[in-house]
Amino acid sequence: MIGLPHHAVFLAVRSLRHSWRRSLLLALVLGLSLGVPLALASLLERASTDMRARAAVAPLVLGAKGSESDLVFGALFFAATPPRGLLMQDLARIEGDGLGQAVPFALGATAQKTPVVGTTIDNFDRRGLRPASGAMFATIGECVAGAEAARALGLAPGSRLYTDPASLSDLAGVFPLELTVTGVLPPTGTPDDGVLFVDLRTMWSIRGLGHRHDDPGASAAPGALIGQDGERKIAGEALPIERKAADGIAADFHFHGDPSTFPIDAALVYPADAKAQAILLGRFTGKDETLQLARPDQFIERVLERIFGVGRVLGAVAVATAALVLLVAALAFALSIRLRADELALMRRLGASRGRVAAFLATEAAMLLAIALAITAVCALAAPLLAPVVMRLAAG
Amino acid sequence: MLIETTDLVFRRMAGEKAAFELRVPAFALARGAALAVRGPSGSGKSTLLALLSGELLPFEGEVRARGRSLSSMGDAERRAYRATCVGQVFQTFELVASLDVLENVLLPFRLHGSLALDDDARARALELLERVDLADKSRRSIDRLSHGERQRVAIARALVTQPMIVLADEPTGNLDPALKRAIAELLVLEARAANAALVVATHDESILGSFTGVLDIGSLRGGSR
Repeated sequence: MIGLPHHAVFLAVRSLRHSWRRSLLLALVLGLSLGVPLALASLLERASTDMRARAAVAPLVLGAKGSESDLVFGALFFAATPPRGLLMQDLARIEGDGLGQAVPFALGATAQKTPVVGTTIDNFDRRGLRPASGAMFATIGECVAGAEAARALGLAPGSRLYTDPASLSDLAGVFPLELTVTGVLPPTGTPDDGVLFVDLRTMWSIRGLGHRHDDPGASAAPGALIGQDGERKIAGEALPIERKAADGIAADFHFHGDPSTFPIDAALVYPADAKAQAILLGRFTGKDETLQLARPDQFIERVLERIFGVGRVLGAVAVATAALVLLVAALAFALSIRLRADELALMRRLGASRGRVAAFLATEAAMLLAIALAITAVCALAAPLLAPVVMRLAAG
Repeated sequence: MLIETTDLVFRRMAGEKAAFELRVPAFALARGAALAVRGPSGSGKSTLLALLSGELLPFEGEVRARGRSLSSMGDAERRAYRATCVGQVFQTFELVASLDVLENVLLPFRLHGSLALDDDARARALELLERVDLADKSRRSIDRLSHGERQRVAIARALVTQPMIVLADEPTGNLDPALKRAIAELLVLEARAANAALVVATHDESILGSFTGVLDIGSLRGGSR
């Protein structure tokens, strides 16, 4: 009986190859019917792990009153726009009496469609996050790229890019600000990987709250220089607003107004202790309160509860479908054997035993199943890659 | 003698009654013999071939291969006899569509453990394809062959194991009239070249001239008992 498995494999491969469309379809249907429930479970598991881990970054999130979902998903996942209305001076209600630390965030801008997030160095100190290459931003116009953002945009320390206009209607007003990449963060497997971090002042400049002017004497614009008092040049209204911050001219930027009244979108709040947390939570519950203090861990658990509720229903449907498909596939295979009755009878007439014919068919079925299981494995392994999509869908 | 039979009786039963009975007088086949078994459809030609291959056993009498009765063999031994000592050609060619020409010729080696698919077997298969004028189509799909070419592949497959007897059941039944005689002559020629005995079941009078003997079983058919 030398070579029996070898010949069974040979005949099975030839048979599967001969009817490759039928074989592939059968393997695909089988593989997907088994893979989809596994992928769904794997995806939800990964998404929930990621979301819980991210929610644990800060115990509390401060923002303007409005959608709690927008606040949490905006502040922690950069996937939503928090309600407007939070100002820098509001952070004093957290930090003023030493109850905790508030790390501000300003969102809403993009550069080459990649989110730009304004914050302070405290954000990185809190997480012990330092650039893997280059240095942290230090002044207006500098940015630090998340690992994935740097890879996608081909950024390295020294690279430059412009922010995108806020909207087409802003083309004539707020011009893009040039950013210089000073560092690239290490991969963290969190939403931090996909954004560009800048100093809050840079974000305010992007929003048009800060700017610098061209040298009135050097400007070619007619009416840019309307007079001179000794060494002091007097600029006219026609003096163009300069949108470049690089090459050592960042210090020329200036802001109009009181920075404590400048807008931010959210703040991650780190209470000094449990008691401080309880006091802070009570502080923002008044009827006329314009701000809210959300607990990301509790919020994420409520979101996951909803997702898993839907997931359980989908999972049950997928398992029932898989069972049906398995039955149909078994019937299809049995039918294909009947259609090949002449071929199998020939083998018997040429001297093959029933066992050898059965081994040949079993090998063919096993190979089909192996292809199907490979497709199932690809589904299950690839599904976690879609976890960010689930998170975005959850963010609405 | 390679093959000897005593008077054979085979019955196909329907309950207690015999729905069909075949009686064949004793005969013997030597190497190189080419016997045509003639008879109308349903006369039992295919049944006689099945008795000679050991696929069926007679109710009375016996078939002896090199002096050994097939009836005395166990199932496994009869399968081994069929795989190693018998080459078979069928009316509808019975080729495997998923295999190419050469792979079809070598198929018997993949079906029974007592046949080794080695270099000698491959060389013999290629030589046979050369002899039936299909050497240049050895890697061609069966679907792309004409009926005549398919039957030549079947002839090569029947001879590749160097059998002592080749059994062909209506081998020209599905061929054009012009091809029938050519295939019959090829079968006789190649069986003789392989030093095998040949038994061909046919009801086609036009090919009988190719054979050294004719056994007419049309008049031997028994009625129901």
